[in-house]
Amino acid sequence: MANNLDHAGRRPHILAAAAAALAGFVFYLVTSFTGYLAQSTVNPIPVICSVAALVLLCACWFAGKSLSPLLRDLLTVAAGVLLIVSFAFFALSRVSLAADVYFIPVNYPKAEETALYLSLVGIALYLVSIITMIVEALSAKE
Amino acid sequence: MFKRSNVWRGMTLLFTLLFAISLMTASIFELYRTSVDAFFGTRSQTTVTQPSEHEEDAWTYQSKFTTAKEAYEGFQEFAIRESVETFALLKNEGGALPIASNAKVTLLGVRSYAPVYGSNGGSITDGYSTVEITDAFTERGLQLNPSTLAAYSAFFADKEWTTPQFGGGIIPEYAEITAYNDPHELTLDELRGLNANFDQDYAEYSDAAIVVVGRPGGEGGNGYYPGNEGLADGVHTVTGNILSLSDEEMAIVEEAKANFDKVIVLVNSTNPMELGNLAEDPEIDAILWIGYPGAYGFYGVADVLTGAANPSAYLGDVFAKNSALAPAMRNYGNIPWTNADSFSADASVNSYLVQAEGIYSGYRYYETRYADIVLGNGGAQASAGTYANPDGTVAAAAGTWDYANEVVYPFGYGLSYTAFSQTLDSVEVMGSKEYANVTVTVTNTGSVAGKSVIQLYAQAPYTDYDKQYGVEKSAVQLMDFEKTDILQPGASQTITMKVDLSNLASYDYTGAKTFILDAGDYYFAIGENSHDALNNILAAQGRTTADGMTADGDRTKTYRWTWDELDADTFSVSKAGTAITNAVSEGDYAMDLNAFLPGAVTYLSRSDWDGTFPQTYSGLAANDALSRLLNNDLIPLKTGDDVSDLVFGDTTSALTLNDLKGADFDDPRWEELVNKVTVDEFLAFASNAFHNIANIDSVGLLQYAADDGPGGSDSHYLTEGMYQGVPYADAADYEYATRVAPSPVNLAYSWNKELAYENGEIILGESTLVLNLPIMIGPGMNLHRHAYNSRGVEYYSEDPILSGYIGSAVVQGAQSKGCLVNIKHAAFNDQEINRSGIAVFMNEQRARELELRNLQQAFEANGKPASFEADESRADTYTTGALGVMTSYNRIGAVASSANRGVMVQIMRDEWGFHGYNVTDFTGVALKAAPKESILAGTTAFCGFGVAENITYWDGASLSGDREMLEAVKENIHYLLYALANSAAMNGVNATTHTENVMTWWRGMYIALIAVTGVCTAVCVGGYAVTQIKKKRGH
Repeated sequence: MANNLDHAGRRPHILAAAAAALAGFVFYLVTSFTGYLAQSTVNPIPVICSVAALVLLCACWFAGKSLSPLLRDLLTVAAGVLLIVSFAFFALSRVSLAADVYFIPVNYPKAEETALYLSLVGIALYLVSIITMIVEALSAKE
Repeated sequence: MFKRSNVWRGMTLLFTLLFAISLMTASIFELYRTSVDAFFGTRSQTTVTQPSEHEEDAWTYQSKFTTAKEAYEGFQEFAIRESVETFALLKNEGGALPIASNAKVTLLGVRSYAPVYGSNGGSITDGYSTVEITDAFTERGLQLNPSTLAAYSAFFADKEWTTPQFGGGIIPEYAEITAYNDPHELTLDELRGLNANFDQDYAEYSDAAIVVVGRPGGEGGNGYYPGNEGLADGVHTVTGNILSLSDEEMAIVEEAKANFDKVIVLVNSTNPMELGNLAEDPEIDAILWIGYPGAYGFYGVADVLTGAANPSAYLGDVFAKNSALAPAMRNYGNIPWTNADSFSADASVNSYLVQAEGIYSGYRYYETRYADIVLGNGGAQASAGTYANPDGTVAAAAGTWDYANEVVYPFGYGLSYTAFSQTLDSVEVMGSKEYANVTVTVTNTGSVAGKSVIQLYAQAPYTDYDKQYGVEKSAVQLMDFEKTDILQPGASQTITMKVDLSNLASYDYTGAKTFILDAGDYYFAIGENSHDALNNILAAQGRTTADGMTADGDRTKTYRWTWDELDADTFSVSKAGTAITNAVSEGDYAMDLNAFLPGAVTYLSRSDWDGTFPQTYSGLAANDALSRLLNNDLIPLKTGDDVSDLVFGDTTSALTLNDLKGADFDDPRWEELVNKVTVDEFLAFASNAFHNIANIDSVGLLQYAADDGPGGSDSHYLTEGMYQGVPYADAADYEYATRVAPSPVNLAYSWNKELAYENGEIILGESTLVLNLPIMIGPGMNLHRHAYNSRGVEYYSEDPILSGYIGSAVVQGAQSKGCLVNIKHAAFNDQEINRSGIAVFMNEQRARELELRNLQQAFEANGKPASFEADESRADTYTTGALGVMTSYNRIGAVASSANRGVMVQIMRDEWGFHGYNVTDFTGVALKAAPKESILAGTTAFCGFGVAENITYWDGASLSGDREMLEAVKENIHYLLYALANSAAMNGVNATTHTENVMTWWRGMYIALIAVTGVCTAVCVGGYAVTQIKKKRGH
């Protein structure tokens, strides 16, 4: 695979993954604290994992070539796993919305449908972030 | 490649992602296991029992089907036999029907090829079982015009029957022609385009043209709207409403009239259609209402068309010329609270429905206004927009209300191929006023065998007291009915009915605040339908056509008696011994909007028809009192109560639920058994009730599947069938469902209590036994408030006695097989629009005399057929009322239906003596169901997807300081265990009975995925480690 460092020695996949994860995280927070789910208890796992993943991604980005290859690999994989955990818990916490909206022809509130669709966008962003990290991980380093 | 660490690194993440998705899939599938089963038609848990010494004794309820073949044939045989009694002959000029058994006929209309077989959601007709109309007609000997058939066949050649949104299988309907705002009739040009010679065989197949017109119906979607709002772009109809024929449908009718001497119209709709133009058209020879005949029902239609069976159905709803002019339609649809947006979304606050028509819905409106005009009591004057022109369109200027312009076919109308005479032999009103014995003789005076129905109506006096206290009276109301046996020409049958006079009492919610009988003259009348019976009463009152009657009546068919004094005592106590007083007129549980917004609503009164004709109550805002209730959080959970004497989780008793199998509700052992259950066990049971009966281990209650719906199992097939716990040996050959009978509307129109009992035995009861589904969610028993509710297909009729007695018979038949019925939807589920959360308001007279009187019959086991009364072997029937109910999506008044203590506790539990299982509709444990308030109101389970995240008190610890709540939990445990102990849930259970998981294909799939992705992840981690080690050594 081609070298994926930019001319500053930093990796654009990391930046893209971090941006997508941050956007997905925002969607998680917005759908958790406003609208249909505003009164619900927020599952802290996606929050903790997402913040940790973003910290690791920042470390990868800013530390650049100063990290040892092994540590860089560990950080990359750890960030990816944390994003996967965030993605999984985010998605699982929204299954009931999908069930309500899609499974039975109930006149569900419009706000529930909105919360679901915003959540789907957020989940998709997490997925983009994870796939980007997989691409990053598959990419050869110097 | 695999020597490079980046590959292992990337593959590690990839397989971790797939591993996570596999785990998520497993989690979701197990969480929604019963729904997944329903969707895929699998069964993921099964009940296993080892044979015991007294095995036969354990099988309290026994199926009549020992093989899948027997079951398949048994359901089919009944469905066809039921169907022939459910088609109402509305017009038959010159004996146009029956036609010859081998007649050569031309079928016209898109519905002649693709009719509506059944509901399109909720108890849909089983597509696998369905015998198509053309096949059924052909098998019965009719010869069909191949050219028209070829045209319609070509249209559908690239189309397929659709799949249901909920449940399994196939719906025998095409999505392309299924809409509530467009009949999708094909034009003649379109037919010509499909087959240029579609009309070439008219002359050869000219014994009759059979035009089929239809409208779909079922759960899902908003349903029908009146006027332009209900018509798709480009659709125009006779009256301007979707329930009359479109221009394209009329073009097909005109084509038939132009080319055939005999034109027969089949009305394929369970929503009453507006048929005035067809009824008055002399070139339309016959009209046969067929409703939705079910999977095999077109055999029955053919039998009726050819005279192999004599039609004996009668309309259970009035068929108006313009049903949108019914006073009920003034308040229908989406009428939002202006401040709906101020509520939290999960409280599900949307709109309201003010049923300002009072008791005057259906025939009660048309017949009473007619009677008042005849009697000179007013009612003729009508404002613009409130009455119909002769052609059924809306009158645009003030004028005169005319019954002939309003009603096409009255409630109870139906014809036969023979003629009957009925004589009112005797009436004996008991001194207690509670019952009357009415004897009627029916004679077949025609030339062919057939069945007749005795329709017994009554009239109570409308007095000054009533006017003072706002008590309304219908000029005629159904009191009871009986269907005869098949009477040969010249044969007679005499039937004595024990008539429950409590159904004659009026609810006085402002004066006596209980049921009353006014002083004055009362009448019984038999008649061919409600209008005929009313004319007989008017004749007895000295009125003739000279007074404006549509026809002279026959006073010999009436009986008059007089009660001298107002009686507010006789029916002020229920049969269960509870004093009856206002339950929904004041306080938090009021249904009368005037209780919250004084003077806001004027109810329709016969004392001033035009002046009180309902207005549309739009633009209302919920005030503080209403808002508190609409939030569904009206009773704070208490803490700190002394609950030390309340026992939960007692482990000292060895009793199990099986020990109380068949026990009475008052059996003293219940307390010991109920004490064994913990609060958390109850809460877990209650929150896991979507098509499921959750296990309660402490009392030995196993987990079972349950299923919708009123017409048979929605999701399960005979491939799962069993006889006394042993799977059918031939099950694999029978992928057919049990939802094959005609629609519930059809059943009601049969007016046959015995047939309804058998429907309950087979369609619900045998579904329970064959498919091991102790709970079947049905029957549907909401009244038809008007013609426009598309969900009306699941319910019986507009009349509380016809609906109530048919429903009661179905319940009795089902319970005789151990089916724990869930009568739905209690109560007032009158429209699909905004059904989840809509606030339904009405006065208590309407509530009690219509919807609740209807439900009451099933809960009190009323309406026992005269033939059962006379049969000693039937002495053990009608001894126990319904043991289960499902509450409604809509609010009763301003609070969730399941939380309305006025209806759920004061009326259902206390007045009616209901001790059974009470489950919400698909709400889950969510704010829209007011969970804690619903527990306090006797709810035993919440159908849905578990506990919403914002319900934070759903655990024993949170409820532990609220004595009233814990007492309600105990009571609800008693209710649910009692109901299950008296159902097939205990069938065949012995000490070895247990539940086992079944390795369904989807379980195998996710287990395999987890294993493969898990191993791959581990391998990738290992691979990475190895490359790193090698790299290190290499350095």
